[in-house]
Amino acid sequence: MKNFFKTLAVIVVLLFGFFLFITSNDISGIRSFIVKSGSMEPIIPTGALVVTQYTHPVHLKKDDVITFIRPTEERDFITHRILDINTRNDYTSIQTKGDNNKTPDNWKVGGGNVVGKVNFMIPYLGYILTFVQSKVGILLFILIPAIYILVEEISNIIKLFRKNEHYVAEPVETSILLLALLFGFGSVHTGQTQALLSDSVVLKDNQFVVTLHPTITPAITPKPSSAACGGITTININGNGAGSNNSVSVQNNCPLQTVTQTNQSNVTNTVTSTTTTGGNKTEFNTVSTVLEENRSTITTGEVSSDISVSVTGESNVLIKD
Amino acid sequence: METKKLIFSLLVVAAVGATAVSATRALLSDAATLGESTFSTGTVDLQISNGGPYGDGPVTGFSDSLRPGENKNYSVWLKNNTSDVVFKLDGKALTPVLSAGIDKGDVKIRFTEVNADGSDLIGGATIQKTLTTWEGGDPFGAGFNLPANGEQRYKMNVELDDSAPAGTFSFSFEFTGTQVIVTPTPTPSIAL
Repeated sequence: MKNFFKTLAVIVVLLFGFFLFITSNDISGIRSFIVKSGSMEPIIPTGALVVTQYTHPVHLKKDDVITFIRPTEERDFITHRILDINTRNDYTSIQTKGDNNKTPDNWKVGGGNVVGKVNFMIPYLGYILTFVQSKVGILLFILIPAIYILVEEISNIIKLFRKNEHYVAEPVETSILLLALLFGFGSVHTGQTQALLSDSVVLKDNQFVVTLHPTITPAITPKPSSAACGGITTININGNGAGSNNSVSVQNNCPLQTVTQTNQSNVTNTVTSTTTTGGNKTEFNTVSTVLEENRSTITTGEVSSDISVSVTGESNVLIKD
Repeated sequence: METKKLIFSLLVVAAVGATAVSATRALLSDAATLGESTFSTGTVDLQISNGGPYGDGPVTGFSDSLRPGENKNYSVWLKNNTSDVVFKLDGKALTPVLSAGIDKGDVKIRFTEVNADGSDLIGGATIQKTLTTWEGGDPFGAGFNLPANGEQRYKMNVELDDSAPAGTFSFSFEFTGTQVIVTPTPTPSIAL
């Protein structure tokens, strides 16, 4: 009975190590990846191992979870869900999104970038494989078993040549170590995929009113005719705000007579004036609360302040050529 | 019988020996992590402010008037509220609405990193695109990356082309932070 379980355990480890080796080296279109981040939780938790199978884009559909090569400069493996898939003229374009991300991914995946469709996942296995890939893991799962096996086998070879001893059958420990080695060997090559995380925020409803430059009327300088001499050319500039400089050019062949320039501006001045009367003092007063004529009062002197406000800024200049 | 066993043992020695050698090399070089990134558990959170407290948004944008040829500045702050992820930023203009005669190409939006007091950050990143380009979604560039628990203030400059007629235009703007995968660089080691 004990032997049965031992054998079963050996077979399981053997198969598993072999499976890892096959899938990490992209044989037969099946490929496994360690999942490094959590945008696909809970169906694919961080640290899981996903097993993908290559699927031609023609067989992919909305809601499939796929592993693909990111079509931006990073070129790493991303595992997300298909939000939308479109094939036109043999070219497939896929819009992907992480289940936990607010917005779809900022790229379109081409059919050629698809590594495979995720068939199943094994939680926590990614963490274990990452440990095996670490220095400590390499030591435990590869180097130590390897050295042990090498020593065993080399001593077996020596014994064979010496022929002084019967060839001793492989101890079980060696087999197990061989399997651990296979497991380690398969693990170190397992690649990684990101369930890439993202979040978005919105600055909503920025609204702008486009106001034009000050209007100048008439838009076109009227052409003078001989009859126009003596008439009045009126040019209006409206809507120019404070601090604007506006210029108008008028050309006519009439003798210069009278030029009238008018400005109309609206200015609001707010003036706050505070004056104080200072230094008022009374002493030795007996204050009566009953007889009014005995109450003392203080009369302050006159206070005045001079305020002048001047508004400047409008000026017209007439230049005669 | 013994020949078979001999061959088997020799094969094992060869295969295992090769594995041991490559494992030793891997151990001695600091690339033993095989260029892998770290696990990122948990969720990420990008927050926005238009001058008030940070939140997940949406926050109300700005309303203003603009003359053709004029440009004006507005203040937008972003915060990476995640402790173990660096963000790279992408921008996208949403639902642009423009009255007749005003083209998306007439509107340019620029983002510039600024200090807390609003002054330009020396060496800070800046990027300007038309509303047309922003509508399709565009990355801000590596200079804009937001570190974990990092906050950055931006000047959003909206500029209208000289040729635009009177009218109105509006748009919303979406900022997306995407996880940057950090791969540890191996430190130099003795070559085997």
